[in-house]
Amino acid sequence: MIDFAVKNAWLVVALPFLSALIITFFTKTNPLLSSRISRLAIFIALIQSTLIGIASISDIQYVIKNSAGSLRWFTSGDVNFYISWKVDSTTALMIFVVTLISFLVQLYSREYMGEYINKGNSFSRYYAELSLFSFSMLLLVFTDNFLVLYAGWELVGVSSFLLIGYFYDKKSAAVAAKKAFLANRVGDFGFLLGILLVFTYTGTLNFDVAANQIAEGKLSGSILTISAILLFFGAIGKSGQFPLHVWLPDAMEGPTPVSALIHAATMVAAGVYMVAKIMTIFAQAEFPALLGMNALDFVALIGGITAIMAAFIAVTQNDIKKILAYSTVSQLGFMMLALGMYTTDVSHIHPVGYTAAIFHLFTHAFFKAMLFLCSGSVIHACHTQDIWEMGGLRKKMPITAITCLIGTAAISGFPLTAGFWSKDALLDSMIIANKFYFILASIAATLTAFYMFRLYFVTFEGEYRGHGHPHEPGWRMKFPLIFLSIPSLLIGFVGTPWANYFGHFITYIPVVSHQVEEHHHGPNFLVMGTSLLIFIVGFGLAFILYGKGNYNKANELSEKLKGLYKASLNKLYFDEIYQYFIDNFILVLAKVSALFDKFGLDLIVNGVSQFFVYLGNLIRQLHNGKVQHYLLGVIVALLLMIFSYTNYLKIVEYKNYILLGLLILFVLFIIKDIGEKVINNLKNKFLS
Amino acid sequence: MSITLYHYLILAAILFCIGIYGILTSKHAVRVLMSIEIAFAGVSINLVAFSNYITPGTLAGQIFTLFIMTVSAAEAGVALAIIFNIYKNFRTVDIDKIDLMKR
Repeated sequence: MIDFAVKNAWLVVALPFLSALIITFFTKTNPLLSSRISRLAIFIALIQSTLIGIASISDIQYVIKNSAGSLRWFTSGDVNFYISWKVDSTTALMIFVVTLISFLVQLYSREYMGEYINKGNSFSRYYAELSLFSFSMLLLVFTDNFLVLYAGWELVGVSSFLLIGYFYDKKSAAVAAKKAFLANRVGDFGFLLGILLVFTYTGTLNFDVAANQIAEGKLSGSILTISAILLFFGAIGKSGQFPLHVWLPDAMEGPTPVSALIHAATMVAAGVYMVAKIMTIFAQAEFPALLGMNALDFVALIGGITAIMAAFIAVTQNDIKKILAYSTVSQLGFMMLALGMYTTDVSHIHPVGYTAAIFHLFTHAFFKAMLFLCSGSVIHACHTQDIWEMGGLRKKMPITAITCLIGTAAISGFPLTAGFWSKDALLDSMIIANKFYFILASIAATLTAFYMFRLYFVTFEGEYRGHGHPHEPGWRMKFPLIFLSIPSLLIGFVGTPWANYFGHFITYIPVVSHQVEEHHHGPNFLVMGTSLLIFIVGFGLAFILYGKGNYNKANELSEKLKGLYKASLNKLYFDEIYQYFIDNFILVLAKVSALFDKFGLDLIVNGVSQFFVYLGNLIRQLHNGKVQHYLLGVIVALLLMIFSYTNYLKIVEYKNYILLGLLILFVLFIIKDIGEKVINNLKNKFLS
Repeated sequence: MSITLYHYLILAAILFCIGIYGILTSKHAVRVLMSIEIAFAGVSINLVAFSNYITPGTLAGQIFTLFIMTVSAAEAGVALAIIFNIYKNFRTVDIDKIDLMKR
């Protein structure tokens, strides 16, 4: 059984794809059947990836060896391009997370989206798009070469676009979908350039081979650093990092389960996953090519800015999903920051936050998906997304409240929950590598604890401020919540500093093995103390300001810190700045290019066509429908024929007569034409 | 100066060319018909001249000419009938104005 699962690992990718195809082409008119097909496919994929996961834990080398495969996609010149895949430990982890969350979200959606069952094909479309997304995401994590990674990268972009714009008749949703797609394209362009640079220098698209080629010196120095930074641009776009984070909060226009799956747990983690997967390339890009930064410094800088900036914005948001979205951005920033942490010895870079980042990615997927599903449950019940129109929901929706509390505790780093251990690991890597980022991350984490408990208190405690009668959802929505609360609480124990199973499972393996100092130094109580302090301060502040159902203090504080409050509430004016930039630079540039297009290119193109139209009109004159003109043509042609066959007809000596005849014909006609005109003129003169 | 074959041929060519010119330039349909007759005359002279000078014993050319005359008379009849019909339909016999073939 396990053997079969490992050897046919590609089935995990194929199943959701098949389901998307079947729904699109055959069952879209039957919404319930469509949703069942989709859930069945992802459930089988989940079972298979669980089996693969078990196999990977017991013997990863066996899995790597047996799961790999490839298909030739196309050949260009001498180079073959393959669709190739390989399951290593990160992939095994990711497919488990992706299939699990996908399955739970699809189950949850059955009830959440229930009102759309009877609305045409939209319910089937929803499930087809979810299946398409699962397929693309699995393809992205399965592959071991850049080409398929890029294909998967774009496919998740497309399915994300489709799902954000699911309510496409709502203008804001359509606009948000467009924005997400465009922001992603900006990053993807850099990503493509990076891939092309790597391919140009190393001649391969395979991650491992490329890393080996780089180690041999095929690509080095500043150009390597530039390639790595360009590759990172893809991650900036996909993972919502500063300065391309603007699309992620807007992406919340999509259905909430979609936000949970795509914009919290899986797709946005693709950037982190990608950087981790090709860490061997990043780690070799040590030449400080960009303002004295090497590739990993750049990753850390972007991650650090994102983490603190998004946390700052999240503090004052009022929309429950926007808070969670900024929280996601901030957590992804944490992961990037940790990926950028490294120590150096004589000549090599050792990433120290590698395991921690993936560990946080892993735990974050569970509790953030759960938090989004909780918010979905609340939105489903209250029909609003404004937390100030909720309140006191704990009594009406106890299960949602408890699971949300667990998620909040986990993300805030309450001791022994999943988030505590992973955040610990992150902070641990930072204290080893860079104390400044440690302090920055601590502040961001404090803000995280604060705004998450603010969310919890305002939504679930105090008095109910909305209208209507919220109540608990049915089992299909409750089950994923309860199920996800278990890993949110307990999954962290796989990676405690005392017994770091996770760290053994996922470790950074450098391309060139050299003497590495073991960092497994056991628990760092300074870090643990800090992280406890972070939780206490964040929680305490939230409790004082929002805990008692009385928000006067909070309002007073926001009055006092008006500047900061406004900046945060307006998301640091990123949208406005971008809008200004687009209006004043991009559109002007577009207009200038339009002018060039109109008067440069169009002139040439239209000129060519106009020339032939003119020529055609000229020739058309011959066909004026008058018998005599045709007859003239016949005679002239006959004469010409005789003229050109004079040799054959043995009448060479008459050549000149024939020419003379033609000449006379023309002269006569010209005379006649002119004569006619003269006569007409005279007639007109005398008659008028 | 005696009259040779060449003089007849030149006369025939001139007549033929006048006929063609008339066909090509006349506005009036009946004038076109008349021009055709002139061209025919040129051809007939050609035939008779050849017959007379190349094969003096036979009368092939002369008989051909008789045929041409009868056929052209018949043709003139038919053509006139056509011109009548054109006039009925278009109220004109100016062949510059009859350009239905354009469409």
